[in-house]
Amino acid sequence: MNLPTLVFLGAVLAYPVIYAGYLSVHKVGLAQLRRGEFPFSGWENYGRVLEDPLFWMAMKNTLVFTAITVISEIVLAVAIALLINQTSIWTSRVTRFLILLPYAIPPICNGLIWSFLYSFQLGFLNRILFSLGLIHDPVNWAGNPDTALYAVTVPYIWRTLPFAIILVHAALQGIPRELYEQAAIDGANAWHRFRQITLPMLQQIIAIILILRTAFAFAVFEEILAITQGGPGDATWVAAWYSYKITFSPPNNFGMGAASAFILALMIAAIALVYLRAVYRRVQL
Amino acid sequence: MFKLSLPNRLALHVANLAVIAVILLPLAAVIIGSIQSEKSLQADTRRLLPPEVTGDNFLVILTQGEQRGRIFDQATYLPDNIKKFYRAFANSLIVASSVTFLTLLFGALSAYTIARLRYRWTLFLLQANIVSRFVPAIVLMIPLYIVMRSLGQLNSLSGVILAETGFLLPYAILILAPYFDAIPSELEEAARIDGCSRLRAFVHIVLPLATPALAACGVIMFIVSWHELLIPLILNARPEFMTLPVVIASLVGDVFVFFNLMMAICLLALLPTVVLVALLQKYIVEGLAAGAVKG
Amino acid sequence: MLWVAGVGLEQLPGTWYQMTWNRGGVFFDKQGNHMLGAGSVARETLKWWANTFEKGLDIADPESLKVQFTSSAKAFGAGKNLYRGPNHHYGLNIANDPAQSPIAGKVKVMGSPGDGKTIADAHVYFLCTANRNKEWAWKLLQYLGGKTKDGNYTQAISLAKDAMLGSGYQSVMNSDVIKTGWAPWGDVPEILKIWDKSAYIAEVCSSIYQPWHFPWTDQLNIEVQKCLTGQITPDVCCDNLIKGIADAKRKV
Repeated sequence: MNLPTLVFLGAVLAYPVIYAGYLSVHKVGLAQLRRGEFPFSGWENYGRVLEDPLFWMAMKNTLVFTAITVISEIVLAVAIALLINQTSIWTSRVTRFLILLPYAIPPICNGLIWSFLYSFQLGFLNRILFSLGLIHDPVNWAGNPDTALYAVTVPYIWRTLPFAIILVHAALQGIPRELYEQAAIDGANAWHRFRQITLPMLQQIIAIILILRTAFAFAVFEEILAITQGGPGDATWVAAWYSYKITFSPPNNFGMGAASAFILALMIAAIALVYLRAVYRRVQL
Repeated sequence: MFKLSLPNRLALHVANLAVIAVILLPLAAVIIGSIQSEKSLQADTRRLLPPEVTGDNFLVILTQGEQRGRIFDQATYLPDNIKKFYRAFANSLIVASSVTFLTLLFGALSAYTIARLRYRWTLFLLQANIVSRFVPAIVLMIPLYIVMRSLGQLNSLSGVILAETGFLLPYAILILAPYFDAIPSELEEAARIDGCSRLRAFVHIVLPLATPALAACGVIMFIVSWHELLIPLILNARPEFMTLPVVIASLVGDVFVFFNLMMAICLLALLPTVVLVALLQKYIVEGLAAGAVKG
Repeated sequence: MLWVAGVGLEQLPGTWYQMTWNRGGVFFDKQGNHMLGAGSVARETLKWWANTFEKGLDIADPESLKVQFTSSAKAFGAGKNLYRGPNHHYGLNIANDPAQSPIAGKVKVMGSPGDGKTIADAHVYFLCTANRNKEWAWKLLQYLGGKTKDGNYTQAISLAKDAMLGSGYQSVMNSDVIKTGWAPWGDVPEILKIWDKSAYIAEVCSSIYQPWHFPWTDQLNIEVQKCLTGQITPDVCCDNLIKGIADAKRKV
């Protein structure tokens, strides 16, 4: 019964990962691809990647991007989950109904929509701010090298936040009410109840969100493609964009692309192992 | 739970309105962007609502360029990919449905064995799936591109379906396994005593009980594969095999496409999954939680 | 002013190439040596160019770094800029089209400064000997690049008519298709004058014959955008690009 799964895991996941490792130590360009012979080149591809300043820039941007998105998502997810948990407030019920909406938006569309929002001259965001009288000159959101990387984190957070909110919200509902009632009798105010009951009870789910979102934010691609294409300059080159550009734009160096992607995979694999130990260690299955 | 004072209630209302505004902001942008012409976008760059409203962006996409309406009447060039809307929509539908079907089929079998058979190898299989979920698509795409190229499988829907199924199968198993685990095993045991094979017991007893699980997992699989860009982008270059996200991504580089047309095609591409999410919200919420926390 | 300085093979690099060539400089000489050193025309041009942006005169539109040929014409249509370029006539059919542009009829063509030196490139169609159906491929090639049975350069004429794309064939450029067809969009004699003063891009950048020209152009896009946004000086930019030649050769 597990045969199809094993075949798929083997053919579409394990084999390509191993093959990527193979490609990363061979010279693979268009000419080699045409001939079908990949000469062995040792660590040369890794050497070239590691001495490419653009690769380090991409890594640095990826780390900054990941740190910003993950930290904001955890803070926002806890805050918004608490908000939609207030069932006696009717606007909270509306929010709860709408909360999953960003999950429905295809990432590439999300990127394009935000690229329209951010546009310097024609953008919707500047139009809103003009209408509200908050600005007098258009703001260059995604085209300024100092702000571009922060600008692309917002659409990403917007799209992926529902997932985190839902996990936190589910965890909130698992906290026994008696705990709060007892605390109220003891005279704890709202902040104390949050600090002493809610937050400790959310610890595990926050750890899960931290790991999952870190791993996925490391591989961000669509929003970068749609909004900045890595620019201006190298301000928003991230790891997946680097691998994509090296491999699929001329002169199509597949070996170097595989090497850079493999480095990214190793970093994410480290995160995955942490996840495995933290979350599934007590698995009863 | 606790009585809230009036200022607190007001503060919560304000917070909710702020969250709702942020959720709706991009949707307002895509809708308002899609109902105007290039000219009206340019004419007043500070105005929020368009001076005139037009459906021509949708007209040109939905008639595949045959009717251009007033705003594209003079345009001498339309990107070819815009003219393949129905094809791309159908391709997306075929890919997403096939991937949903295949991941549910194989995922249910594996998740069931993981939940029922507690051997060392099933635990290992579970762990392999967990780790597989983390593999970034870009790492797979470079070798898959070379393999598919040498097999002559570039530019085919089946290649994309197989790749996406493999890519999403671990996630499907992680979502399904906790549901199967929660179904009491007594029923099947009774059936097996009556002479039912394990597979028959699975099909006739477990699967009907697991309908909510299959719904939750299925809708998530459909949404994720409807959204997938990188896999079809890299494996398919010919217009007749492009899925909607690929068509849309191709417009990023197309210097002739302006925001109005782009927003219109985005709106058409996001509608199906928005409808799904609105209708099946309950299942998605359960499935997302199951796939992340329980094993 | 709106520069065509979006990332691309021809857009941002083309703008720098053109302005350098117009001032009598080149990027690579015939022997393939770079001409980006201290005091070179290319370097001085970049200094002048970067000075039009925020950290200098602040007369350049920041949107410049996003726009390509046609999208720059569309952004120009918002009427916030005095100048868009430099890229000959491309996009005039948008900026001066009343159906598409709020500023239609107000856009004028100007030749390049000084002696008007400019650059051009022609796209050629070519065939690979490995074609499966040689007979049809040959017919297609004739249709795309040559004369059809009735003796017309059909494809060249329709590109000129529909997309305002010039042709490599003199007879097409001198025909009524251009002279009257382009008249609603711009001053045709002026455009043809610009056309006559253009040199092939390889005169300015002989590297285009080399495979490493592509990764080097990727770096050029990045470094020049960093320079125009004031993150690095034009001198650092050119020095990085000189270093980048060796790096690009190793990426091939």
